[in-house]
Amino acid sequence: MHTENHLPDPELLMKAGEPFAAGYCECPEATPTERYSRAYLRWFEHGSLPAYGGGYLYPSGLRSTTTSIMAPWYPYTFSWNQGLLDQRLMQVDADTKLSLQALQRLADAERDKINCINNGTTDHFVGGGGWTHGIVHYSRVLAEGLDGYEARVRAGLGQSIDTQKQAFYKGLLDLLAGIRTYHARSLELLKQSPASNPHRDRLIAALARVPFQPARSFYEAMVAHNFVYYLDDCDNPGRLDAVLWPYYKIAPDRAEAIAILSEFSNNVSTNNGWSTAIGGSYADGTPAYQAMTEIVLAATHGRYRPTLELRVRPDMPDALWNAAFDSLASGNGQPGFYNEPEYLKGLRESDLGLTEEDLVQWNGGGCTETMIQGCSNVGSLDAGFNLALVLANTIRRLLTDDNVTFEQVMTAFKAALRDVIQKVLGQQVNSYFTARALHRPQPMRSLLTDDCIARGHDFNAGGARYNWSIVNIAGLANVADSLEALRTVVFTDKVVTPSELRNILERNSEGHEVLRLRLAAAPKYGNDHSGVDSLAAEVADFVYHEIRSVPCNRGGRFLPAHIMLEVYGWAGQAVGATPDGRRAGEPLSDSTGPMQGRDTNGPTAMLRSVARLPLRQAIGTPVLNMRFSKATLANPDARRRLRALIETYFQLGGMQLQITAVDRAELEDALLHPELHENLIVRIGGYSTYFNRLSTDLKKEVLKRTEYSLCP
Amino acid sequence: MTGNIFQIQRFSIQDGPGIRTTVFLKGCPLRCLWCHNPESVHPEPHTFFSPKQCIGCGYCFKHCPEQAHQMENGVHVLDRTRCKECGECIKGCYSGALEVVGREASVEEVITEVLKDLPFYQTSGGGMTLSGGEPMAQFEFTRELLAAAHKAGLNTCLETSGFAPFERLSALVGLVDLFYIDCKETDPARHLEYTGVPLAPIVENLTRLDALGAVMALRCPIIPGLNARDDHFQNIAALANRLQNVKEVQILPYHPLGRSKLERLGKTDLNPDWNFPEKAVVEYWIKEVASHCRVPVLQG
Repeated sequence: MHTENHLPDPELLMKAGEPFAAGYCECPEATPTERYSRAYLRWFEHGSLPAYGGGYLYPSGLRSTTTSIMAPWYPYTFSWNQGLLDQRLMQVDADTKLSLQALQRLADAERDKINCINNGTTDHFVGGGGWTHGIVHYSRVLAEGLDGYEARVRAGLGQSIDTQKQAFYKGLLDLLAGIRTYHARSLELLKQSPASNPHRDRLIAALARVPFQPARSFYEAMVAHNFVYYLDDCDNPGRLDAVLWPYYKIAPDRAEAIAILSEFSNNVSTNNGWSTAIGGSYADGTPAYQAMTEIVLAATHGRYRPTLELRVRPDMPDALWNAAFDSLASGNGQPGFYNEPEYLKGLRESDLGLTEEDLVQWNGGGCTETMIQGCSNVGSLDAGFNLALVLANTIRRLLTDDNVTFEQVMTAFKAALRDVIQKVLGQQVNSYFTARALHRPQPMRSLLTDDCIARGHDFNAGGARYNWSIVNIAGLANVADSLEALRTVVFTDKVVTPSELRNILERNSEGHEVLRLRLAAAPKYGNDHSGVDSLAAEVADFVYHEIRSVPCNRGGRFLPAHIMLEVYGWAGQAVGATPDGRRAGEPLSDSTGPMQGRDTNGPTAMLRSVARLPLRQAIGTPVLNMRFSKATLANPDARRRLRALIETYFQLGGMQLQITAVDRAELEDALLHPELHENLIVRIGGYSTYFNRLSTDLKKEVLKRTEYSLCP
Repeated sequence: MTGNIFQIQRFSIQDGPGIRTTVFLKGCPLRCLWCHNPESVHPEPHTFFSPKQCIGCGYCFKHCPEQAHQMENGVHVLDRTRCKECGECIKGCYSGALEVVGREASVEEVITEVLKDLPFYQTSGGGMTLSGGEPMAQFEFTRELLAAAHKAGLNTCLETSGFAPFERLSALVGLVDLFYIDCKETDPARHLEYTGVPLAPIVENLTRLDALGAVMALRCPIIPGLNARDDHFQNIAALANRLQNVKEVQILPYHPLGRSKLERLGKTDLNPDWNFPEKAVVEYWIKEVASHCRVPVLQG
């Protein structure tokens, strides 16, 4: 009776513990947005509720305590657990098995619809694949309440005559009904919890009001913020200081604010949540530093997340510099330092249509990808380009001819870069956007991001006020170093002919160690050497321009970024030996920084090299990591020097600086005895992570980073 | 105007306020037993040789006109009696085994390098420090460098033993914001024994510099078994108390980092037993000086 064309039976799926899939399969003829909204409704009706930990906030701890084959997931609308499906197939009755198999076919088909992105970008191994983050409009939810959101959805439905829009609004009403059920279930769970919990009754009273009605106090604001953070799948907590300040200032109580925010920070850490940008500016240009900015820093001491981004202006108060260094001294690598004036300038120059009010809401999403809180849909990493791989291929192709000149190498390299950028962005990534707009609606993001409700469009179909796409760039230092070594050793000193070099690199320099050392001894990016730094800037300028010039069919632009996350270790695996003395398969450089350990002229020289890049064009996020000795933060003189380093780097045009303050000895010990360093946190690429979670190779790369000491 | 230098160290954080660049000048009239920059003593360029870095490429064996590079029992050795310091071997050495220490540089070249970090000096109140070697041994070059730095608005420090004709020191008073005076030994006989030069002219120079209002800090290397003595500590304090313009005393505990340089210069270690002093011992030295001294005493 069942054929290959049969659809999964929602009832059987529900019984099999798959409410999201069941909801999705209820109305096969409905639009995708209605189907995923129904999936959310069933998920909220039947999904697991986190346990109440007895604290100030609920939900708390892990956002989901059970696993499902299909579940909501912010990057791609849903997550898929193939291992669990395979396991269930062996345990269930014949009818359920047929339904699960049909579900598998359905999910495969759904994946195929948006698979156009993966073919092009995987060659480069540096991110991409359309992973995305978002940031809820927290201020609006707190001020308006979800009741206000529902009123806007109903008004939209009443006014629309377009059936697509009607379907969109109906979907959101399903979603809101689901949220109400989830909220009611949460309240019931709290009422069932022991009355001896000191915060229980206060929490129940607050949750009886928020997030549906406007918050009236700091506590209600925190309860609403936390609840919505869980609804949004624990992605970015947003600009905590700016969002909470209006409520805090009603009746300031620093100790209580720290206690509640600390609990919230624990929720963010537990769920691997992401970024909060603090400080910065108001739309009228005045500084936005207030008591909450310092409280957020103090409440997150030692916490792994959220990733804190401190928006630094020249007029940032001394007390905040100290609070930031106290936070770094707590060992969590927080905050990262961001150059507010340059960010504002870079965003304005990118012609993204930002109003001044929205501009000042910039906040990194995920690690540090530049987004606008509450009203943007930004592809975190839609693609990545491995410059070292393109150069290695160019050398292999071009250096068979000994009459080739350095200028011809540069021209061919740039042509190859242009070709791959146009192909990947212009064809694959743009096709992906189109497919996603059609097939992957995100009802929760549509509800919580402006202007989806006003426009009647899904988050992925042009609903967000601002749309842009961030594109990663890998191996800039390796390419600059390689080009400089080619120029000096091969084309100027003529130590070997171009074809000899090509063949030696093909054999990974075996038997040619002296030549490899000579190549490695050529000037390296990161030492304030104008020759090689100019090459880095020339390549960066070209790549930034090419990326920004490709029309982006989701709106806005493609914005370049250097954010190597955990990928710089294995991004090198695909790249053969390069003329910078790097052996085949060795890692690439980290983000905008020099190749690990190649900066030998001190931090001022390194920072000047990086500041020569046209960094504002790489507004997607130009990450720079530095490692300092721990003593730096304990010594007042050293703190003054660190501040001077950061301020000067920013004056020179530096955009951001991420700092790990861990001594080499501690990292070495953690490599040997991970069990003794469970809480050791380091900065990788754009965010903080536990050292123990890194691969051994990556741990060694972190060790290779130059450690700067700022105190005698 | 040119001089001999052996290093320009950016982001130097031990030689004065803020973020600085220290220029190390080559050549020194003193012969301190514990010298931690032995490569700085002679004014001419020198060859550093680190056999452990050698990868056996054979370049130096082929290109040395004096056959100073030899294999002895399978080990690469540099015969210093044959070496004429021509530098031929260094030109083709990319392993780091052979390096030249020291070069001639013009005032303009040095200042250009120093001014690269101008924005960092401006935010941190830093600048340029001259050290060595003994900068006063290249007086004209030192004066030109200081004048150029001063003109560029940099904070300037000069590290000197004070062993120089007074007229030369006094000529720099307007160009130096802080004199770091290396106070090596306060007992005249021991000073001569440990450094090879007499103490009296140095003390007289300091007295006269003080009278001119030159701001000074005393830097006192303390070497166990030589000058780590209570009478020396008391004399340091007395000197600092007597000189009105001494703002600070720095105690520099002996460190054996100069030893590996001696090996690379092909010289023998005079006292292989010297090592890092214990923390408690250093704390005692500082306390001992501070208990007699009117100005702050810090570990340098």
